[in-house]
Amino acid sequence: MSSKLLIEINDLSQANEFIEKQYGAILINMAGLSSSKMFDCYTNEISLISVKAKENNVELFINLNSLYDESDLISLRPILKRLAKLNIKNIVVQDFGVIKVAEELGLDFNYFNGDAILNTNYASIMAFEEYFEGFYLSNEININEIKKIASEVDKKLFIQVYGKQRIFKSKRKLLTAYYDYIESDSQLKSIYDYLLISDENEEENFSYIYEDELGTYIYTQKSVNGLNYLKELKEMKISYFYLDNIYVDKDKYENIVKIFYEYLNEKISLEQAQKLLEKEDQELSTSFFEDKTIFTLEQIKELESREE
Amino acid sequence: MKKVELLAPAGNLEKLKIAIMYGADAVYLGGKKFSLRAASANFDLDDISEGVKFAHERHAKVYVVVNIILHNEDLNGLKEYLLQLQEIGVDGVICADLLVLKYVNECAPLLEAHISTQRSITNSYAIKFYEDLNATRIVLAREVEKENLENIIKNSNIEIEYFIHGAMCVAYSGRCMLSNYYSRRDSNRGGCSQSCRWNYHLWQQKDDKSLEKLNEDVFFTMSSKDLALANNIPELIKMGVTSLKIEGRMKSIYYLATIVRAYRNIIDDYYENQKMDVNPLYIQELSKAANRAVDTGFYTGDMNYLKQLYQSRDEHPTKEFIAYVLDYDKEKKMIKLEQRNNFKVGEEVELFGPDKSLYRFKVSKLYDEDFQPINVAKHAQQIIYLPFEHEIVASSMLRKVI
Repeated sequence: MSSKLLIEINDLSQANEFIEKQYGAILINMAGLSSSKMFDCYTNEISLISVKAKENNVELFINLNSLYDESDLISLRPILKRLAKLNIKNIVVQDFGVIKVAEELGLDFNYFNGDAILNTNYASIMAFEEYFEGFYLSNEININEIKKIASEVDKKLFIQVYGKQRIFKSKRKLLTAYYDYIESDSQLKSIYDYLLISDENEEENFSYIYEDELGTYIYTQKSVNGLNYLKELKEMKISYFYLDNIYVDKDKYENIVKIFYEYLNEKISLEQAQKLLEKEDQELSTSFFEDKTIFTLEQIKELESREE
Repeated sequence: MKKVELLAPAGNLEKLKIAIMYGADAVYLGGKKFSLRAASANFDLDDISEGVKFAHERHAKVYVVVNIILHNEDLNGLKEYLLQLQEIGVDGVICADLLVLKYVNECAPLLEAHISTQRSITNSYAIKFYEDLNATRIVLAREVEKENLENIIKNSNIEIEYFIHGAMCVAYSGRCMLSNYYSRRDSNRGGCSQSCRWNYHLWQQKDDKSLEKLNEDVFFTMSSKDLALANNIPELIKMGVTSLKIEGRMKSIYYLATIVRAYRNIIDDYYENQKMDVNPLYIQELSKAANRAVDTGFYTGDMNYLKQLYQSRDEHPTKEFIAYVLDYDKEKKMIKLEQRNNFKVGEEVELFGPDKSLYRFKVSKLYDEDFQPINVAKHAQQIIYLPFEHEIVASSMLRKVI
């Protein structure tokens, strides 16, 4: 299987457009059951998209990537039944309870492990590969670590190559709590409030923060740009290159998808792709593709002494 | 009826012994490798072996935390390490990376396999997934509320461990990368820089893309109050929780002794009289070691600003640990103490020990190592003698009443 893009949608019309243009596989966020993003769908909408996707031979993935409370399982069961009736096959999960609920209902899906933060080495992935058709890889590993995983694992692998990167998820409504504490008259409206936080000592370093009914999320201000690595990742047989659309408006997202699509399919050069992407997004980063985290006491002490 | 387990942290061998002497039924500790809390001293294999011997002689269990999320470079030596833990006689391991679970099944089946809170398990179907993989216990996410906890226990056939006391990650455990992005320190491999406890400014992006601070005076902080479920222990026992977990491998021996002792008393009282009310004296005891404001976290729901910390870390220890009991001389009726903080003749103090004793009195006399009278114990780790009529066990502690 050749590498392809995995793209999100900003509305239903964009789903149709992307399917017709066959830019790649489509990832749909399930309303109420996926960690909130720019746009999510109910099963009737998924039904429409699914028909169109089948006609155009485009793969669909449904995001059920939240952690569910015991009480949430009540709403999960009918949704899984409806998805099965729609002949939806591919489900992205973070909570492995979804697999057991579906098993109890006698439903058969292809599961994709969306618990990316925890997918950081080949042996752990291989240990439980029987449960999953594919794995999202952590955004916090570098290109060499990805290469090693790809060389050892015979499953579909997903890597985020564009977009803001999620770095925090809390069940607490931290913005509401803060507004209440400071007795602010402001009302939280939506993700489009464009709220950012900065460390008190480094005011130039920002991260996006937003809140929904499931809690609080923090994203990097800069978008990861994986264009430089796309060719190498393609050679590693990475199956899906994921483009996140959070904080990216519809038209801009479409332009960005097109840039990645054309570069992936060798219709434009890397230089052309980079220039076009920089026009769309001036806040780009290579994130952890070339970087490495530290964690031992010795490494931390060395870092602290350098900072002093 | 099987008695609930009181599970305490052990940051080093001394803390392990204190936790068990003060009433823990089990302790958890980290080895030099494969464990979060890089800043904690942690145990080498000899320490673990000594800890296991000490614990087993007192009918307590030892669980070793093997809870980092492994990268390719961390894989070497993992199997051998698990085998060594099994040989030493460790009772179980607490794992977050599922490779550890697989290796326990394959190579070290005598070890119990506990699934760490790092995997944020919040429902009984997720529990079934891990149960099918031969996990023996689930450490639930701190986000599980009372009603959900009740239903999880009803719907599960596996041991359930629940946090009752200590600091809490404000994010879902294991799903916070603030430290990775802000400090390049890997939170899931023990390098967490606790970025969630930093002070932040909150900014609103205006239509012209400029940024404006929402409030100049009050920092936006994510830091939460610590968890303290002392008043809820009877209902947790009644519900069927297997193990009640205290957080804090980095905390002091004084903190550990105070907290473990208070929970030991609460648990024993419940089994003795089946009463749902908790003796307020034990709640007072807990406050003597508090260094941050506490509340009931997610257990009671209502997650609002009152459960967060603003303006300051709100650290407020109310008593001061002043000396550690090394021995008691029955003939001279003197306690041999090691000084931990400055104190003097005339001050009111409390003496408490692993045997549940508690005495409050004024210090009338003090002697130095040569039995010369002194007025002030002012030197760190100074040996002091304190006249006392009752026999006191070693490892008891003296604190100031403030």
